[in-house]
Amino acid sequence: MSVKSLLAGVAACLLIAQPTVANDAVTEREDRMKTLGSEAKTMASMVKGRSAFDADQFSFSAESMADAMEGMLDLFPAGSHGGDSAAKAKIWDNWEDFSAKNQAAVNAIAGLMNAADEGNEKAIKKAFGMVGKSCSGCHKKYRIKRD
Amino acid sequence: MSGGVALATDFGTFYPPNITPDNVHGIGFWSQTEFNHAMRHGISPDGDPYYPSFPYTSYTRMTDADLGDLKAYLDSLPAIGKATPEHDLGFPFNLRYGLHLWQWLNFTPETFLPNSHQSAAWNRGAYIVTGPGHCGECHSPRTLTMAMDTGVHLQGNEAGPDGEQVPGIDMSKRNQPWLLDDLLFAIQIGMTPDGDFFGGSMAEVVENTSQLTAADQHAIATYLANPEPPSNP
Repeated sequence: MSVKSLLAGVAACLLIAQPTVANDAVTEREDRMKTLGSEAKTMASMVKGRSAFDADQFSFSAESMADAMEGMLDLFPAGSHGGDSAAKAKIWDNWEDFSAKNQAAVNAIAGLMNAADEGNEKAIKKAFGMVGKSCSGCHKKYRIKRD
Repeated sequence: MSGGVALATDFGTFYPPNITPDNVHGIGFWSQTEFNHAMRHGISPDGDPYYPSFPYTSYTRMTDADLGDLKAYLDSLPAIGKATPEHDLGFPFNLRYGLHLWQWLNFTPETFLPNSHQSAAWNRGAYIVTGPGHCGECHSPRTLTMAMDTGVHLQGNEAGPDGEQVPGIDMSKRNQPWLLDDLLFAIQIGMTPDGDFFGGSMAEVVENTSQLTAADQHAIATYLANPEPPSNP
């Protein structure tokens, strides 16, 4: 095999690999979002009083959220919208703002972790509300509406 | 409040006007009577009918007291001397006099009538949802002539503004109705029962509903658990 055809082969592989990388990122970020949603649901159930208030559970859920947010921005490679993805194209036109909103969520979750460690029920519920606000803040602008 | 945020629809793009008290570009020179006439009859001080993108079809149920408070609040805001674009609509919808026909077909000014068989909270919720909150404008389908279809009031709209699919919020008609505290959470912090947070225009709505009093939030949730169409649609 000539060097030329080898290079052509490598180039072709890269071209094929490109969308796969994006697809992996979409799948991974959607999985992470599901984790965030599931932790939010667990905590909301305590805020609503459907399950017993448990500060340790808030700690655990907030930490799981923090893990899910780790490196989240890397899961939004340029142009990974369209298809079944709910990401709006304008994420990449407003990357600075999108990054700031990501950071706001990271900060809100850190605030919730602190509150949970301190164990004050009222402060925890308030911090949980702030986390929700940070989620909405980004969804409002950058997620395609779904039922 | 200085207007201009585009609302894309099948008919073209609507640009909400400036409603700051600016004397040139805003509504600073309007009297309370003119303001109430616009809100409840859909007619401008010049006598022109408004497009129903301005939801006077819901605001018509607002009380004198609330309209007085609303105008006082708007008058207290800084005047912003900013012009807003004209609506950008296709033919024949760009012909404003056609709206006289639309109003004749689809709109009768009315007052809110409480239902004496329901609780005070339910009635308060009904007033907010069908009046100032104008929830049905997006959450109800439209008829052939683009009136809010009160026969399927609050049961969702496949073709909402900006191409959004708008879900039904009449909980008595949903397969898995949200409970009262689910509804409260949704309007307080924008969270759905499965832990998701609203995106799009409903996230903007929650910025407002989150500021309502706890009693009004509770009233809305009480009404949506088992709503009825306006008694005199």
